[in-house]
Amino acid sequence: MIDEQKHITQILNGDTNAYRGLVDRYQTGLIIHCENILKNRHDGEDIAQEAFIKAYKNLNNFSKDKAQFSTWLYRIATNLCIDLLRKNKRQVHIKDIEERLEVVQLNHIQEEEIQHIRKVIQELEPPKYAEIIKAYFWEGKSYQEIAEKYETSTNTIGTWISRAKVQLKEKLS
Amino acid sequence: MDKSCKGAVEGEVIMKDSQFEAKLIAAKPQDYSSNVEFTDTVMDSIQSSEILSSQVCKTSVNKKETLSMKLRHLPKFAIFAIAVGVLALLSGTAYATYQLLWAEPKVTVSEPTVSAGGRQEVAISLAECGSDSLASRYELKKNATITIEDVPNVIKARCELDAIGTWSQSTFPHDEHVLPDDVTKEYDMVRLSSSFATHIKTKSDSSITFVGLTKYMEEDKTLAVTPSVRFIADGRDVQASDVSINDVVMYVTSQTSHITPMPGCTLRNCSSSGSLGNETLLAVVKLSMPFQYYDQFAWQSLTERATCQGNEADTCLTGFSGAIDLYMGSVSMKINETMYKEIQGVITSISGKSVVIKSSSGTLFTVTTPTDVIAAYNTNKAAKYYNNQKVEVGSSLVVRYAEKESEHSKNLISTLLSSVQLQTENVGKSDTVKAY
Repeated sequence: MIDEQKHITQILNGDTNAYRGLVDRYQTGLIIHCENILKNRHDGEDIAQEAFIKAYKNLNNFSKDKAQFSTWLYRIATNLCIDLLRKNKRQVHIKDIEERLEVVQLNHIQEEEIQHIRKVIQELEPPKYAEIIKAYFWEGKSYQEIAEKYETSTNTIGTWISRAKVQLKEKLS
Repeated sequence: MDKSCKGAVEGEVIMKDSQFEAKLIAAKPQDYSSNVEFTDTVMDSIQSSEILSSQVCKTSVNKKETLSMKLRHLPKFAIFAIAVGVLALLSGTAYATYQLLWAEPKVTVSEPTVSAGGRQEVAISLAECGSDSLASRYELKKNATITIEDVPNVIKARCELDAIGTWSQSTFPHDEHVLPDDVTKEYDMVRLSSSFATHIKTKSDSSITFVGLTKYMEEDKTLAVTPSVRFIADGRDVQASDVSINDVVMYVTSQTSHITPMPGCTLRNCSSSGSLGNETLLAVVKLSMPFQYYDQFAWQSLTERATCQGNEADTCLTGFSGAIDLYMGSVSMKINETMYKEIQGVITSISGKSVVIKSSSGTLFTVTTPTDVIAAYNTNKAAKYYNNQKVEVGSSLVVRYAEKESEHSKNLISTLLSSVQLQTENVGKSDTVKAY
């Protein structure tokens, strides 16, 4: 894991480039989080970018004693998602969105569990399921990008990811 | 497979899936590369010389809007007008020649008062443009291009444009709001478009040239006149000869797009390309007042005031065009226990980390941030990024915070704060950032 506080200290000392590490670390999860709220990949990416920029601009105000950087970042992104939904006059179920945020934030995961998840992903059958899980959740690829690689439709990718998750849930439960 | 939609229906599924997905993401090994393009985009934005707050960046471009874009921004009174217009059309089509195609809006405005921010504001009530119960308050911006005396006509003009837009939507065939059953196949889409108010530059039996308004970044547009084009004045059908050069008009056109889905398009996620056909003139409507009242900048000189969320005794500006972030908090929300609230007010005193603001009702709120964000902003950012707009006594702040619905704290300590922003206001997009 990267040393968040070290990165933040570096940034506050004027090393803007140190922020790259935080963007790299959290972009995939944040994009998926926003995509799930907004039901749209492109909007999810746009809002995730905006959240990173907003977090950077307000880094002076971030207090590590009150929250992890990721918790704060997800809060900013979630608010931006809600703003966008409201702006587009789409129905906003804030309670559902807040619960989603809470779930993501509460998810503290031990190193031992991490290793187990990685092992189970490697064991997925057929092996392409492991590849697409890694592509989507680790490399930040969209359904569209994965579909192009496998020369299939995004519907098929959705089905494969869904099946892979069923396998993973069974093995991790 | 639409995992998002599935989750949206089944709340429990969302919870479990989010937690599960969060674990998968957390298990990402360090040596997995991220999306470099995404990171570069973020870093480029950060390193650019001027970073405005997101709201400022998103100040609308005053280019021509399609009607659907306009409808998104319509206030409630205009939506009511749409309903009235549709009903009128449905009930009176047979007598269209003798009846108005849309009713003339009537606007009543109260005597101007001065808001807490020192702006002139008025209460309005409307007839034929919404319900009296939907009457609202409008405030004139500092850099307004109109005077308070112009407000009734500006609002009336807005009602008239909206009514014409509604009439055109219910009169001419179009389907841009309706997706076909299968977006994965090629299809045609007819888009209806209403222009901004403009003037007729030239006119012949076969074509009309409309003046392109440079301030909206428009060019002159020449469209063919066919026998089916409708000419309308004073809300009634008239002859083509009744509309002349230099008249203030808006016009309605339609345009067909041929949509071709890109490879890999699915019902959930579909990219497509469109080829536009010719734009067809459907109607030319002569407007009832001088152009100045229909000008987009006239409308944007007004800001609506509404009850502040969570502070019903106060009014907050709801349509201001920008704000500069001073503080972003990491406030924690407890579901069903706390709610987001908002208060806006003028700074009456600043003392280090604490600032006192006076809301529209005259209530004093003390806002305390963990650090002296105002000094930090004034020293480090004001001159560098924000046209030297400093935060000082007399500046206006927008404060959002989380609190129990039943509580009404006047002492907003840092653990409650979600954000503190310096309120700004702009009329046009190209305006430099100006503090409210």
